[in-house]
Amino acid sequence: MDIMGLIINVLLFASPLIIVAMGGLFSERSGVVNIGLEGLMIVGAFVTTATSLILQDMGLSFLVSVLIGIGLSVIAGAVFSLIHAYASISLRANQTISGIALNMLALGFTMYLTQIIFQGKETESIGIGQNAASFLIPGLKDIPVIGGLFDWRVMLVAVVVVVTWYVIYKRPFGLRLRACGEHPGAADSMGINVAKMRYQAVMISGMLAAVGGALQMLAFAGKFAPYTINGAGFMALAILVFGQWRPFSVMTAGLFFGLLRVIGVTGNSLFPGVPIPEQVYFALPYIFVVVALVLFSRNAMAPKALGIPYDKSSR
Amino acid sequence: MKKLLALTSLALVFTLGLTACGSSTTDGESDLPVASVGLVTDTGGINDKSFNQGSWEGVEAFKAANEGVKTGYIETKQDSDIQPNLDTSAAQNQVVVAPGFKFSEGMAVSAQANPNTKYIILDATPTVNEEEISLDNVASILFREEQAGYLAGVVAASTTQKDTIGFIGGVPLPAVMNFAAGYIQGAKAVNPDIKVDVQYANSFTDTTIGKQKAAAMYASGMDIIFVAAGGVGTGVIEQAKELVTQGTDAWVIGVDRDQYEDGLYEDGKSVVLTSAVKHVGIAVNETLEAIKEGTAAFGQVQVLGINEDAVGLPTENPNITDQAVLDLVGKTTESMKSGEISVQTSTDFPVQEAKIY
Repeated sequence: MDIMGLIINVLLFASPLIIVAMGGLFSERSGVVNIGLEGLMIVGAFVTTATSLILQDMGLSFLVSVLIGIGLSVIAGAVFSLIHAYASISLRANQTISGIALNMLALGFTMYLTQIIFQGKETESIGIGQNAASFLIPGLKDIPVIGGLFDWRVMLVAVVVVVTWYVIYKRPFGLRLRACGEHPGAADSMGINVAKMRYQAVMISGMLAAVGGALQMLAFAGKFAPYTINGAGFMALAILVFGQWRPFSVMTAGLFFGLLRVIGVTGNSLFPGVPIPEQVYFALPYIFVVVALVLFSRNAMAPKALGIPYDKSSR
Repeated sequence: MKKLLALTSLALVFTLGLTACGSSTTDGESDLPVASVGLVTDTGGINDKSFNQGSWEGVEAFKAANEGVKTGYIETKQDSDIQPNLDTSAAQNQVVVAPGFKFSEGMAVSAQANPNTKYIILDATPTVNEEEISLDNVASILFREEQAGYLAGVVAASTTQKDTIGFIGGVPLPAVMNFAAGYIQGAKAVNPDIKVDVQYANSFTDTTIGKQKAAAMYASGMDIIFVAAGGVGTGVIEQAKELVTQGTDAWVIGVDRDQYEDGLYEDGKSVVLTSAVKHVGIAVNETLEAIKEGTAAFGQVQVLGINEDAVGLPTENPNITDQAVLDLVGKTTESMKSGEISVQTSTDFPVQEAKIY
């Protein structure tokens, strides 16, 4: 694999994680822990796969069917995340438990639907392999050497990161959101509806996580199966903490982790003849992340009200 | 006290007598030695296109050949339900079929609790605390993966245009390593100079590892990868499709079942060259027949291979276009059956280490 191949593989691996981490960022900055990202990704992957397969059967092209699928998965993600929002904001339930419930429910429910719609434990392939070229942006893809980078799956994530940064730091909405995550009592006293802000944040996280799930499916499995997401939501959560809840740091953390991970997986093909056991390569990303966490954790700044249900009466 | 003892023993005699009667006459149709067969699936479900489905086809084939046999299956929804499901099935059936290694622990418990029920476990043995045990109502069936792997190696070495072929395994377990051992031996039998790059994903579910490993391996100059790694194989197949549509040669050899359909990309063309198949259905059917005849090997581990037609390549291989290769596969199969070629397992041919062999 040449350098370009390596970079493209890193981007494909990291981009779903980064977009999901952005979703987590909205939710956690508003003060709601969202362990349910994994479940929301599963929902997104399922809706996109099912929609794409059904629309392709009806004669639509691959790309159009996938785009409609992603559109629907955004809606599904928002609706599904309402369960978490209702339990953890309105009912003030433990946010971690509610998130875990979401994960279990998502896998069970989507597998049930897969069984009904596709009569099996997994769907057939939607054809990402043979249609990989259709993800490239026309015009730009013909640029020599770096043409392969202009993949709209990657571009979409870059746009989301910039927009997230803008919304969180430059818009009144972002300021209110952050206030709800740091000191909801103070925000409330200034007339901000904390519950409403948190509902919106959790729904945004649901939408972004669902898109992330769709991208994860579109980059690797190409079909919906119990193993399509396989823990990527938890990896996104780790990247969110690693990136200290700041959009560009999260993106850097995601790319860094992605690079280590791809080198870890493909190490003995990248460096043939170097007598390093495969296990060392496999351990590489995790060792580096632990080291980095130790180095940076001094300045860790989680939102102060993270994980605490807001209770007006305890203000 | 004496009276009580007498009463109790009387009651015991009656109960035992009754049970004895019960098992000897079970309803009117019990002139059949195997009147009802139950299958318990793992969480994959009955349509998993793999072990569960294959076993069910074997059960149904037995039913079709033996009039009056009743069959049924229970789908396991989560791993913790395995043992209760085995018990439920045991209460309703004379023979219970369990496909896969996930049943090892539950099987041991259930089979000891239901000594009158016969059990068939595929690709595994009953275990207690990870120790293998032998129970005289359980027939364990293992497969000679190395023989199927050998044939895959023969096909790969005679098809490739390069000097290296690849192997991606899931976790280095005996069932996976046997495939690798056979694959290397088969490839070297065709071309002693060929190199085989053996790698492990350390996962059966991570498609990202499969796709990334395949990308790197194809890029380093291989055109065939044999993947024995469950869901990881999905990633390998997608990567192969991506390369083929861009004009690079990339073949995948599938595992456990005929994966040709998984590799379809356009105009009915597939990237799956062939598959190293375990015919679980045949194994189940034959064991049920053996139970009927009273010749089944209970309490023992039975290893089925090419002689029993339990492993091999699919009957149809549309991607092997060269008749010479097909002839070679046929000849090799015959030589294996006659014992002329004996394939070593991973115990004698260690492949645990990921490297180029």
